[in-house]
Parts: sequence; structure tokens; C-alpha cells
Amino acid sequence: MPYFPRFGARRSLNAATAEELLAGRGVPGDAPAGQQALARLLEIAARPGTERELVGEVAAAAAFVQATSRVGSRRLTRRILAAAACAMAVGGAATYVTMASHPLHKVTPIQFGGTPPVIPAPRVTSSPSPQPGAPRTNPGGGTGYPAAHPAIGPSVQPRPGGR
Amino acid sequence: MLEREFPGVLRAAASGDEGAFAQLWRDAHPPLLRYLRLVAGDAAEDVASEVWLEVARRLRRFRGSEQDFRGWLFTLARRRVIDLRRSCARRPVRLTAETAELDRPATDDTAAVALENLSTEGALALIGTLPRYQAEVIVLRVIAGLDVAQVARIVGKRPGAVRAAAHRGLRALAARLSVSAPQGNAQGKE
Repeated sequence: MPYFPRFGARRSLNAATAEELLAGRGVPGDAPAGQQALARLLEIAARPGTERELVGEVAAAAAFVQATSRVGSRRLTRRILAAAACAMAVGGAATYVTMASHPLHKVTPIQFGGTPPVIPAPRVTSSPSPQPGAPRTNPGGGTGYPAAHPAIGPSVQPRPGGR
Repeated sequence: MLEREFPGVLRAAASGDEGAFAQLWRDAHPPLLRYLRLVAGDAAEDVASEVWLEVARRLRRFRGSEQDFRGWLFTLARRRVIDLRRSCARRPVRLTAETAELDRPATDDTAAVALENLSTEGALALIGTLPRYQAEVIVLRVIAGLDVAQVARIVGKRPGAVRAAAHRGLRALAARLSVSAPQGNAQGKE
């Protein structure tokens, strides 16, 4: 029985022939037997799908339907959440603008350790001297903030009794 | 390959048409499964299912030709296999028992392969006796139908290295087939 020469195919398989085989174009009919055998092997490996390989089609299609519907519902949920977030942002911004424009909500920042800005105090029309027991007012016409800490108070008045 | 039909089928599948997706699946699943049998062994079916699920989720955003789709599919598959190998690094990846029970030739007895009786699984098993990288490149080129540049992108090598590995693999296969296979078989009977 005739056999392929052991290394004949190996020697004759040049780069061009290899590329032809890899591209699925096979080899010419007069090609060496080894190359023809190789072409046949690759052709068998690349045959169309068998029934056994295609048995999972129904399951794959069902998984596709499930995945796409889940993606669709997730997309819808995301859109609803995004719309809600936008509505809340717009509403919040409108509320802020309304409240911030009100004179009672003027906020003046005070630097830590610095001098508070001078804001005109409301005019006091009654007694110029404080009544005993009444809260002290800043003689310099200050902010009305109590001097909680000497460092940040505009002036320090010694308490009666020397303490 | 769907060729001219592909753009329409892809569009329909991307818009949620189950039948169109099934058409894509029928066309690309067999080569995907064959590739995965080679590189993922027993886990091939599971990995293929995961890959198709990912395709289903991301198909809407895919743009490209049929070749691009194939490239994307096998890229997803290879990434899954790499994840799988990382997650079970101690478990050796081997060909399925199912395939082994078929007509897989022993490595020292490949000469006895009779081509006319060789099944697809047997041909794959014979390719699987090559070093893994050579076998992978040959399967991606021949079975998946990808070109050198696409395979190079998928395996993360240069095109020249991919080409060289494929050629080496083919020469090795040719040598194995040449050992003592009867000439009559080489002519191939359908």
C-alpha cells in the first residue's frame, strides 16, 4: 500500500500554500498528497454545524429574549430615574433662588479669627443706657453678635465685678 | 457566513428580533463551540452560553461587518476563557471526554487516521494535539474564518507571529498526516 513520504509534505508546504490552506482555499489538484490530506483535514474541521452543535438554538433564543427584555426594562428604569433626578434638581434650584433672594436669608460669611463684617444695627430709640439685667449692646454699633470668644469679638468689655 | 444577508440580520437582531438572533447564532455557534472545545475543554458549552448572553446584551451597540462580528464574538470567548482559567487555575484544561471518546487519535498513533471516516470532532482533536497556541491560531483562521490581523488582535500578538505559528502548526500536521496514512484516503471521499 502506498504511503505518503514522511517529510515530503513538510518540505513542500511553503508560506504561500499555508496561507491558501488557512484561508480555506485548499490546494490545487496536482498538489502533493500530504498537502491534499492537510487540506482535507482542515475542510473537515470547518464543516457546517452538526445537529448536535445546533441543539441549543431554542435555549439561546430564549436567553436572548430574556436578556433583551431585561436590558429594555433596565433602560426604562434608568430613564425614569434620570427624569426624576432632573425634576428634583430643577425644583431644588428654583426653591433655592426663591429663598436666597429673600432679605432675611442674606448670609454673610465670617472668617474664623477675623473681624465680622459691619452690618448696620437696627436703630434703638429708647433708653441710651442699658437697664440693669438687660442684655448689653455693642457701643460701637456692632453686629449684635455676642462676643463668644475674645479673639473674634470686636471689643471686650470687662464684666461688672472684675471677672 | 451570512455575507450579504448579514447587515439586515444584524439590524433586526439588534432591534430585538428573536429569529434574526437565531440566524446569527446558527451561523456562528458551531465555529465558536469548536474553538471553545479546543481552549476550554469541558467548559465549552457553558462558556459559549455566557458569550452569547453577552452578545445579546450588547448587540444593540455593535457596529461593523460580519468579519468584525466574528472577531468580536471570538474576542469575548477568549476573554471568558482567560477568566475561567484564572478562576480555576489548578484544574487542567483538556479536551472533552465526549470528544475523546470519538475518533481522537492518540498522539503517537496519528498516522492511523483515516481521513474519510474522520469526523469534525476527530479533525479538531487532531489539531488539538498541536501546541495550544498553534492550534488556537489555526482554529481561529480556518474554522472561525478570521484573517491574520483579526487573529493577532484576539490573541494579542503581532501578525507576523500569528502567521509563523499557523504555518508551523500546519507543517506539524502535515508531517503527522504523512507518517503512514494510505494515499487513497488523502483524496477524500465525501
